[in-house]
Amino acid sequence: MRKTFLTEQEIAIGCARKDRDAQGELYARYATGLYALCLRYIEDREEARDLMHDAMIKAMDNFKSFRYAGEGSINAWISRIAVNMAIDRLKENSKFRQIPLELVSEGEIENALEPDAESVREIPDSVLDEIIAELPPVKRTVFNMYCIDGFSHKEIAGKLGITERGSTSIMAKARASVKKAILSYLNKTGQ
Amino acid sequence: MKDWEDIIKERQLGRKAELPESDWNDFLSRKAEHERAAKRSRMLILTGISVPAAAAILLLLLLMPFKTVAPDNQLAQNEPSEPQVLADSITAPIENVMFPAQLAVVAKVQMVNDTTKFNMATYKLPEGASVEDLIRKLPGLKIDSDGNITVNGKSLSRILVNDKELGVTSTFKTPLIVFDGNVVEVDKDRLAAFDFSKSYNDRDSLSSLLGVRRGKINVIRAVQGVEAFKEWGPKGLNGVLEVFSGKYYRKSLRAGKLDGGPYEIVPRSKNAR
Repeated sequence: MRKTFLTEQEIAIGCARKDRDAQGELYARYATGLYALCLRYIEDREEARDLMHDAMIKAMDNFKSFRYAGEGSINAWISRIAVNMAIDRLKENSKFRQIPLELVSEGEIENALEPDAESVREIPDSVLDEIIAELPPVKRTVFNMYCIDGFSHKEIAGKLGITERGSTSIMAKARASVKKAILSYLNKTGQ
Repeated sequence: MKDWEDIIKERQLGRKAELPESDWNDFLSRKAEHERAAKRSRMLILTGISVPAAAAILLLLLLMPFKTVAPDNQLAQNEPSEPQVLADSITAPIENVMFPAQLAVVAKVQMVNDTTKFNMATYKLPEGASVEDLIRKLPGLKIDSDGNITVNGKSLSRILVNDKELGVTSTFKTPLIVFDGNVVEVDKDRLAAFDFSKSYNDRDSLSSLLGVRRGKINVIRAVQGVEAFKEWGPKGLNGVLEVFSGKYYRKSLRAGKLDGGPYEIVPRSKNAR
């Protein structure tokens, strides 16, 4: 892959024209980040890489519809594509076809202490990844969508075929699980 | 969102995951596979064709420059030492392309031995489309800036429409000049021996060298006037023709005569193997 030094806007223009160099640069610049995103949704590494490839191809095919809105807009757009594709794949899983009622219903959430933000910053990446990966698939997906990828509950509800309240409820449970795991880690390491 | 969640978000969004070394090549393979699938999918959409559209395609085919030629300096190298048999059942390494224009529902692309058959009913062209547009729609076919057509990188040997060779007099009303006033058929052995790498100035070169005067050369394509001029310059003033002996052997040449000058015969294409 030949690397060029195009600006983000030049990449967008080039990709809209299906320019190979621009597509190569797009890949060189965003593939690893997109792969990390895919791994948050899809556990299997090969499957996640396939998803990343497919998201890249879809982006390259549809760059004409992309509107450049400043630095970071390509990353945001391409990430949305990947997340939407990830959700479509996850929905093929039976766990997503029928989300258990107890998960979407409001339940009592353990009111644990909030972890200290600065301590969270010190947690190694691998531990943080593991904490998120250990969430059950539906909780993990909602947590990723809402907390990390910036989807609203309305969008999540639309994508997963649940109500907004259901999405809020799942997020609350996912948040509680993550919080508990973080606090447990921090206690264990004495932070 | 809580502060700690902001930290998680910030850290996760900045993450990169290491890809295997082969990833770029893997991606290119996947992309190529995707493009092939997309092409197949587009072909499935292009079903059915109206009679006027079929007529338009036929017209386009008629207008298509029939170029099977390679540059002269390559011809000598490519010239086969033995005449190759060009028969209906094709076993020789050639690429034939057939454009069945009938409206019957058949597979979009059929490949039999060296023949690639396209069902034109599956290709739609916009109004005012050029021959190039048509060629570009056909998978594997490319037309370069000189108008040369290749199939999967190989030179195109024949174009057949409804199993008839494009440009054959009986099939299409291609303007023809007939060499020496006759459509004649040449003996294939003599034609094979004919040195197409030379120019001949003798008025009777063609017939004498081919050993025939009339009745044995089939002119499969010939143009004259402006078309010949466009194709061959001043030397094509009198016409350009392609001949073949029955369906066994074919050579292409120009037959030109400048005012008061000698009659000149110059080969153009290699044998149609």
